[in-house]
Amino acid sequence: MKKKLGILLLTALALFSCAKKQEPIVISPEDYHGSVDKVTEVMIHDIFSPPVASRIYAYPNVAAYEILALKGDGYNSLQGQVTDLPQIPEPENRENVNFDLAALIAHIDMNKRLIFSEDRIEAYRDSLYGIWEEMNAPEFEASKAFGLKVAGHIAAWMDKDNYKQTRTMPKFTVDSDEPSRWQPTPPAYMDGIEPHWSKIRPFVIDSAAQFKPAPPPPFSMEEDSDFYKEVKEVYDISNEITSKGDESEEIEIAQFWDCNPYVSVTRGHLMFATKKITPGAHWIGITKIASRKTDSDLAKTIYAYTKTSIAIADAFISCWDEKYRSNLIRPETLINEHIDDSWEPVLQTPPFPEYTSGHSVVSGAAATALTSIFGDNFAFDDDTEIPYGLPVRSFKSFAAAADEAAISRMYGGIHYRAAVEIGVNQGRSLGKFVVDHLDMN
Amino acid sequence: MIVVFVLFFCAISCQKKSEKQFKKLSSKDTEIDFVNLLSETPDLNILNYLYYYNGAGVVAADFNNDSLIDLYFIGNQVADELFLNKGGLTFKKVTLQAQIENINGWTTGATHVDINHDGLLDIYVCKVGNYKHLDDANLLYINQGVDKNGVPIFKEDAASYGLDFSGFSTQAAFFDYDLDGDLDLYLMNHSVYPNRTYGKGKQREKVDKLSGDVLFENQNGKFVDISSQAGIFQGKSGYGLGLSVSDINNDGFPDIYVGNDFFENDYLYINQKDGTFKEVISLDNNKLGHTTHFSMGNDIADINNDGLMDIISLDMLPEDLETYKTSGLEYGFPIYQQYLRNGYSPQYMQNTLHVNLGNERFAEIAHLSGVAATEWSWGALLADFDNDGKKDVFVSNGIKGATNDMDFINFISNDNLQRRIEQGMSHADMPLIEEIPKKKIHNYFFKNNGQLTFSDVTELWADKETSFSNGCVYADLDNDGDLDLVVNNVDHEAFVMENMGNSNNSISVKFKGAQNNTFGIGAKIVAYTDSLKISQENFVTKGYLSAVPPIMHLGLGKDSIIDSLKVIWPSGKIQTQYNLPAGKRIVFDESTASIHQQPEHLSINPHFKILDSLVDFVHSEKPTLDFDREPLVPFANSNEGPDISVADINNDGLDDFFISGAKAQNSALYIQQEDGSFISHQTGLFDKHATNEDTSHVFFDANGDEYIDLLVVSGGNEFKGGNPLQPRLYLNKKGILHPDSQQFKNIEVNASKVLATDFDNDGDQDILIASDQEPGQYGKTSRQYFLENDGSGNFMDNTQSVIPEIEFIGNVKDVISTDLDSNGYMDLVVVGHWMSVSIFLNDGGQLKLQKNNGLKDTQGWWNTVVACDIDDDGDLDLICGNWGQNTKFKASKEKPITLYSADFDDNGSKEPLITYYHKNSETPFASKDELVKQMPYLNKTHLSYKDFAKASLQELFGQKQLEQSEKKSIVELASVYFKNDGKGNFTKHELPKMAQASPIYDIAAEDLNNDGYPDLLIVGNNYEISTQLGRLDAFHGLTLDNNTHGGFNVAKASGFEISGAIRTLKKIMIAGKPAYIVGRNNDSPIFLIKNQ
Repeated sequence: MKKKLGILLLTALALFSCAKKQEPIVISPEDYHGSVDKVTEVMIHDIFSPPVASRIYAYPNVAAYEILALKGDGYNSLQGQVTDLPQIPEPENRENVNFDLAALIAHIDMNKRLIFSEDRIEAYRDSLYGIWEEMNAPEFEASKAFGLKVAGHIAAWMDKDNYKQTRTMPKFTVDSDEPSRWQPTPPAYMDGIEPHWSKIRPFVIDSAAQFKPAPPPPFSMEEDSDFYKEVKEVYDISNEITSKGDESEEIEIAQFWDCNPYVSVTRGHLMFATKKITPGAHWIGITKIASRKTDSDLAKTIYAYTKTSIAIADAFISCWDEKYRSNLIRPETLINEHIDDSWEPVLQTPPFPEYTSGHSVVSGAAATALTSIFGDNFAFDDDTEIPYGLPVRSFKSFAAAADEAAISRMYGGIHYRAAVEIGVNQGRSLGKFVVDHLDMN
Repeated sequence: MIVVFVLFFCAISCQKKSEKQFKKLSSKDTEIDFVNLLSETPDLNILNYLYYYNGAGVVAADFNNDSLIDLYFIGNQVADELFLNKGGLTFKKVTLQAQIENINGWTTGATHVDINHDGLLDIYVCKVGNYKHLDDANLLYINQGVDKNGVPIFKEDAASYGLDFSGFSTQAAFFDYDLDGDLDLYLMNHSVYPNRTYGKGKQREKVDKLSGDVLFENQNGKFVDISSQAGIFQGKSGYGLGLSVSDINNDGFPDIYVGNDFFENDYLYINQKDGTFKEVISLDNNKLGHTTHFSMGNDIADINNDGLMDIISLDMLPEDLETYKTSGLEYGFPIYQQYLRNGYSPQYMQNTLHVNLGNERFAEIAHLSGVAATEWSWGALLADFDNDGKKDVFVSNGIKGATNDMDFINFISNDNLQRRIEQGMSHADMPLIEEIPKKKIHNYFFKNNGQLTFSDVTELWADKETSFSNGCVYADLDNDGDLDLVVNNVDHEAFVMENMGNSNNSISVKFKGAQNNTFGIGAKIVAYTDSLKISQENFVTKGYLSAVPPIMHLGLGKDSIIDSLKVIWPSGKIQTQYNLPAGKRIVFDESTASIHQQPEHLSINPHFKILDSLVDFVHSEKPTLDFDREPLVPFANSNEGPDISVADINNDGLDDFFISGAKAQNSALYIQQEDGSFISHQTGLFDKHATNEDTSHVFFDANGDEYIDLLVVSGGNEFKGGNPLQPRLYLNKKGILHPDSQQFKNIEVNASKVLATDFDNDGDQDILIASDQEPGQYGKTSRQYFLENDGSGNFMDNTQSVIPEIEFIGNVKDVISTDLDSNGYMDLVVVGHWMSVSIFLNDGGQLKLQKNNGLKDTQGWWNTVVACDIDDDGDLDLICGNWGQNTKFKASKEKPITLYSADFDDNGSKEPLITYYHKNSETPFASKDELVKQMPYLNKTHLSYKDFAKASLQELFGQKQLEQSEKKSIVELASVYFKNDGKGNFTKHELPKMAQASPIYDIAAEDLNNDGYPDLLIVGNNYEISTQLGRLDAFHGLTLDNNTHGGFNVAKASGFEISGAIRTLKKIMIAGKPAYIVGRNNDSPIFLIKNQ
């Protein structure tokens, strides 16, 4: 009886919906922010390292952007501007396709391919699909078919970026006989992350080594050497700011920009991981803030995400190239060995070589990209870290935020001065190159 | 009438037979209702005291001298309780009457001692003080004698004795360390500091007054801290959880074993007889090899009845596969090496069973013996529960909060929990702790089968009830001649388990010691019966935080008479009683003991004398890169050297030798002098090829000029090709070697072995070069080479025409040539990894793979083969060295170890996927973390560790993919000898268990005892293996005596005592005496001169 009733209801619904007027589906910038936020959330859950996370942001945005460019709102395709990017196909029947919707669908589909917990993206997707289906089934179906087709093309291009091949390449070799060489750090003593990231195909830059920075000061633990002075400076700054207590500005800055996706914590006998967004994700968050503040339309929003995420992805390739070239040891290892065996950095040392600072390079590049989109002296309140229990910080410009992100790594006790100062410039030069070479609008 | 009676009796005994060994008694009957109840509070919980779930102890002793063993239970948070034994396995709680009032703070372990030698046992209780709000000191309850109701009255007076230590105490042991007649105290404490970094091992040398261990010397009733002068480590890196005392080296002076949790080594303190101890694990990591990593309880007793005390230490290796795969594991190999270099000894997550070989050397054989994995374990008891004369094992385990669950660490511990912890917990937050996974597990019983193996008899001996069990003791509570068990449980009533007995005999022994050691602590007994020799020591701190009665219980099996029972008192006095009937309870009184006797010395004349190295050569490996390059492999293939070749190269009648260097190390030639010394010869010659990792070489006359030439091959999985893989021929011109530039030019081979023999009886030496793999492609079959000599030293690759089937026979590790079928032509025996033992018979024209010879399904990880006539029947038998049986791997034809090579992730390179069987399920060997680094797609389908652990191999990798893989397998891991029936059929026989304790790398067959039968000298060990397998270091030189009827016995005290990762054993004459040179990987060679 119950079953029968159900069928009746369904039939009634179907009749009702058939009878309903089809409304056009409108995709707002907020819809796109929603999808970006979703992939960020899943990335945190699944745990991706910062370089891998940058790749996960870039490809879905490119997929969405290319659809947008095809729509012809004044944005130019990246084909010919981004390495080996093929032309995406035209939809079979252009009139039936809602390009905005297709762009969002492609974005979601690419996200699903890139993360692990597909069910989480699927649940999000299906709830949207349900709404769109109801609003305008024909428009939805056509746009979906096109969006997925484009996603397939972008994915085929993505699969040739050497990511899979780098999985089976040798690990970083730990060799403590070489005193300057990076060693795994407490407490998790993880393997060096992504030692072959420089072999990933970049988007815009010619090669991973194009923005090769000057080498760090020559390694020496002689007290009058430049290198030793930098080690000692990290130790001294750390002592100075920790003596001021957790409320000190410097510690607040360090924690605000921590952006470590996996911090291993021990309390008593309990171990767990504190998971946060990555440096790239923080700048993706700033992109959202700027888009909203400027009331950017969907096209500009996608443009902003795409340009910024490309700059970030290339910044990681460039930075990782240098990290595993100089293979420099972290302050924590040296300070524990030579200065103070009980010293702990304010932030947990991330598991890869020190030089240059990833956050500095990425922040330099991202800020440059954002400045090119939203202009210099763009003041904003950065609330990206609120979900992780951190406060809002205000900046007068993207560049100022990047400078703070860079210096935060010294306050955090995880980088020497050279890595942040040279690193942020490395990122800016790279960012400028990306901005100069991309003719997007 | 009689018939009826007999029938009736039978009915009872038959019924009894079906009963289990142990019966858990109800608290309604025993009146033991003790529960170690934990109540988490914001002040004290697992988040701010790391040992909150470690449980508490129990003390079994007769406190009122009524010959019934009473029980004192420790409560961590709840009050301790004393139960008097009323007989008949009923008890009465008398805590209040006894005036025991330990109701505050946090209590851990306890032991008993007659501190004032009044014949009444006192109780020493360990507590945590000086930590957060906990401010207690340790307690000494001094027994004042019984009141009118027979209840002993106690008075706390630790302070008078200087024993009111207030720090982080775990457990204490009273014993006479300096043999001055009174009892001193080792107080084991535990660190409470978070172990964020492993830091330097050296930090153990610093002193931390709260967490460091303390040795107190009893100076006329005052206990004085003499830790520093006695050489005791007192650092804050010591997380002491397990404590045992034993005279490990049978020198009459008690030694100490301390099990430390986390990064810190365990400590084995050998008493130096001068008031000091020497800690041997930190001094020499060869002696014990590896130890437990997360050490919990331990126990020491003689498990193989050889008169030497063996050590068991517990860890947390899960037996259950799903638990194993969802738990945190050791660091990977490269990072683990880093940790070792910081000053630590090798430790692995597994229970360890160190069989004492004498001379302070031990073979760790927990996997071989079957006791390695018992989940999250606390208390170990070695005791003869079935009275068969052999010590069995009881393990208590379970934890209320398993904090190493990888899903909890990575996914479950949500932001909410984290932030609450950061902000300080309140009462309302306590339920959050409930989210930590619980591991309620049954306790384990293992029956000693003899021959160093144990069987898990948990279900046969007891009802399998899960619990959080910690402190445990054995004692004959009902004086019926068998050992009952008492277990203290978290959040559950203590278990009192009655031993239901059997028809075996037993005897118990009590001690009445001299004045200040009234209970004879440290006395040792040796009992001889018809079939048994049982040795036991009277140390009472046992069973994790607990103490057993000062009474020895000896199972005698079917023997009803003890021929002799000797007591050696700590004073050195000895007394013996003869012809004691079983069932007796004997008391030995030291005052009637005879004066000191010299302990017996074994008067065996060892076969060998070890010389200091006669050369300055030290084989030196670069850090192994195999696990960086191929993280999925189970062991490295880059630690193959050194090889040693012996010949007289200058025709002066003296043996010279060549030893190969590792990558970036010169190989070296040593010329013997008249006096038996060696000098390095032509050092410059080998510089040029220092890069090569030389793996094998052979002296032979290549060109028939009567001078012995040298052919060196290289490999070691270090180089992909080029110069370092080319064989090198050195031609000998009147004692000087000259590199040849003509031969072997076109060959590049990752070689494992080179052999020279005249295969075609044409008077010149032909060459066989074996290869064990393609460099960097684990398990891939590489090509073998047969090179025929034209008589003047020109070599032709004639593999295809002479031995075609050998070309891709497998991953060859060793080849020997010998005439197996006595047809006058040299045959070949080939062994290697992932391949069967293979024989190639030489018919004068060709060598053909022998079929139907009984060796078909013998795929193993074979490293070496030797041919000799074991049984003196006129044909050659084969002795083959394999991986052994001392790891978690087992292999059979039905349940093989399998190597699937395929490009699982479609990235153009093949991954070596190795699987093994755990019970009935085939499972990948590599951890999830390693697998997903190589194949991230696995995370798409199996992100959580639990999903991964539950998934079948097919679910993980796809049935089709697995089927299409290139497969190799292992079906035999034991080292064996194949008996030749003279007609070309070989029958497999396993070498003795002790020969299975480690991989065998070389075997020398020689008649050591001149009985006409070859005996065996066996060497091996492998240190470069996955940290999931530990370190295979149990061999310290093994001598097997031929029993003259086709088998072998392990020889004792042969003098063949060598530790390290040994690769080769070569005969040489030194100064006219037969000798061996032993080549050790990454170490100096050892020289052994044969005693004649």
